Amino acid sequence: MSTEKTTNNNLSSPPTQPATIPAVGACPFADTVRSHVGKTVVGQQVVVERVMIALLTGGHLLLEGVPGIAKTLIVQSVAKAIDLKFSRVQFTIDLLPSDILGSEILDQKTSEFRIHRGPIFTNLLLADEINRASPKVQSALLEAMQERKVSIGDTSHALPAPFLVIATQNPIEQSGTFELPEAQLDRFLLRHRFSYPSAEEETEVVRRSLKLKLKMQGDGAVPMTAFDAIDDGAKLHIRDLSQAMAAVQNVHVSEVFLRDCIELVHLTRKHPDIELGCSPRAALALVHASRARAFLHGREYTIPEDFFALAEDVILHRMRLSYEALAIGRKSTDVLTEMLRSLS
Amino acid sequence: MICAHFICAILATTFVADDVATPRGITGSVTISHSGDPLQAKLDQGLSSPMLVRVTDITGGSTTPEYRYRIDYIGAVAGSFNLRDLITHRDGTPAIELGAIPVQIVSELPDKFGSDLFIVSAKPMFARSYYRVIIGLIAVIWIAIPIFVFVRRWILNKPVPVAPPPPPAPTFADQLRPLVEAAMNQGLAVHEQARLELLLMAFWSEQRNLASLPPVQAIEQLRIDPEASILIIAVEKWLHSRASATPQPTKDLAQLLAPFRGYAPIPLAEVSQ
Repeated sequence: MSTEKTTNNNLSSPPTQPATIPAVGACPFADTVRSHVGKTVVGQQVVVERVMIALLTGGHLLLEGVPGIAKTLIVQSVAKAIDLKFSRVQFTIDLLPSDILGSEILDQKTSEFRIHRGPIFTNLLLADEINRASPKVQSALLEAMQERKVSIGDTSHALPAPFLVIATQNPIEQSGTFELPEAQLDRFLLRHRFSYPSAEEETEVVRRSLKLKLKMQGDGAVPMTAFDAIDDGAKLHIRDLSQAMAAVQNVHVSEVFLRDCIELVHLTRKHPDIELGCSPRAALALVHASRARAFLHGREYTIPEDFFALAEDVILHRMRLSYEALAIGRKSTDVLTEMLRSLS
Repeated sequence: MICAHFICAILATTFVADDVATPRGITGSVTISHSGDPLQAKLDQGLSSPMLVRVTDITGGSTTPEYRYRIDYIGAVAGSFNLRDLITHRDGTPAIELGAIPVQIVSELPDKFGSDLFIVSAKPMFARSYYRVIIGLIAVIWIAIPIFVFVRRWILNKPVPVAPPPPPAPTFADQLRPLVEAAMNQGLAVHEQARLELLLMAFWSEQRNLASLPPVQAIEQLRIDPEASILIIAVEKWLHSRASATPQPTKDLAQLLAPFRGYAPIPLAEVSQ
């Protein structure tokens, strides 16, 4: 386990993502989180929204993107905004399941085994570069993500509520990594691909960094980082999140919307370029995530915009293009866009 | 007595003709001697008379009771005439005591042209002969022309029964109306509702040239488009909100469809697909 920041190379062409910023005042919960995160993070509104969707639906989030685009900062800021416990695990090849889950340790004072809880016992776990860990570790984490409990020794321990895993992986530099199989990818509610900030946003990032001062440690000093600038004063609490989750449960999903979701998922199973279509979990994820997005946008019902906004994050990691399609240079995003257009 | 007087007169009258055959239209002259009552030319000779006679000179009577009468004549018609018929006494009684005064009027024209000066090949003056008819005709024409003009103008300007204006060409709004009405009143099946909603998005994406954008960006732009958003957001509410269980008022249907009036309908298959 490590708390070091990853230093992977950049993506050559990260996918672009529209900045869907709802009107201020549409959802007080979302506005509070956004304003809190906005103090330290410039832009990345969509990522913040995806994190909130994952929180509100109890799903898990897989972030793909180059290093240095504030993944950790965003997650930590969100955790601070809602007063959530936060842990970060840097996945490496030699990581063991017990490093994450915890283990039984013999207490020499009492000569009894006691439970040492791993970093998974938190509200918000950032699993950095999850594809660098061995499949055994990945499976252990994903099982915990699914069941929301872990077994240590003979005892099963429930994970705290809320519990959210935000995993990251580098889409390039696949050497020495263990790609997550589709079955395990399916357990992530959303996979979001980071995009670079715009020039204006990047300028503001640099401008803010110039305002950071030194952090004194005894006689020594280290420059402050953006993490030091995170506002520790939480504006929301877990009960606020619970209330928001309850409100999400009340968001209405029409038959028409359900039909659109199901049709898209079915299309992935019929498309000639797709070897492996989406599981029913994709339809569930699409509907639940859309409901959360509708709540964040201050609506009491889902609309097709939610469906179209989340389709890429929900569908792409759940389908696999055929060899023939890959051979002719087809991309998953193109195939998905084609399916969405065929719907409309 | 009378008979004796008559005989004496005949005896007392001598006839001298200048020229026996006188050309038509040329004045001829005869001289007679008469001792009885004075003679004169017949008074009622008309211009159309074949022979005109005038007593142009009377001499004598001073030494003898006999007078010499010079009688000029003009013949209008070729033929033989007795001038005595055109001579009367002063009291208008025929001068029957005179002997015959024959004259011959000859025509110098070839025979085929006839001999009567008053018989011409041209018809007589029309206006004189048919004056009333002509006046009547003029009156008829005078009245008929305005009537004709009036009637003609009335026919030409006769209000042609105005054909009812052709119904305006159907628009996309007309095509959408039943679908939107049905959507308002919950009359569409779920798959039809979905088709309608996606159709609206696809239609406006094409109209606004948003087809090249990712679908979500296109929809976001359509939802803030002043025209496109009207029906899209309304349909969203009908189809997706909880309130969709209650029928929606139809009073705003025209307003909702207004943005579609300028567009031609699209093939129905695309709507009902």
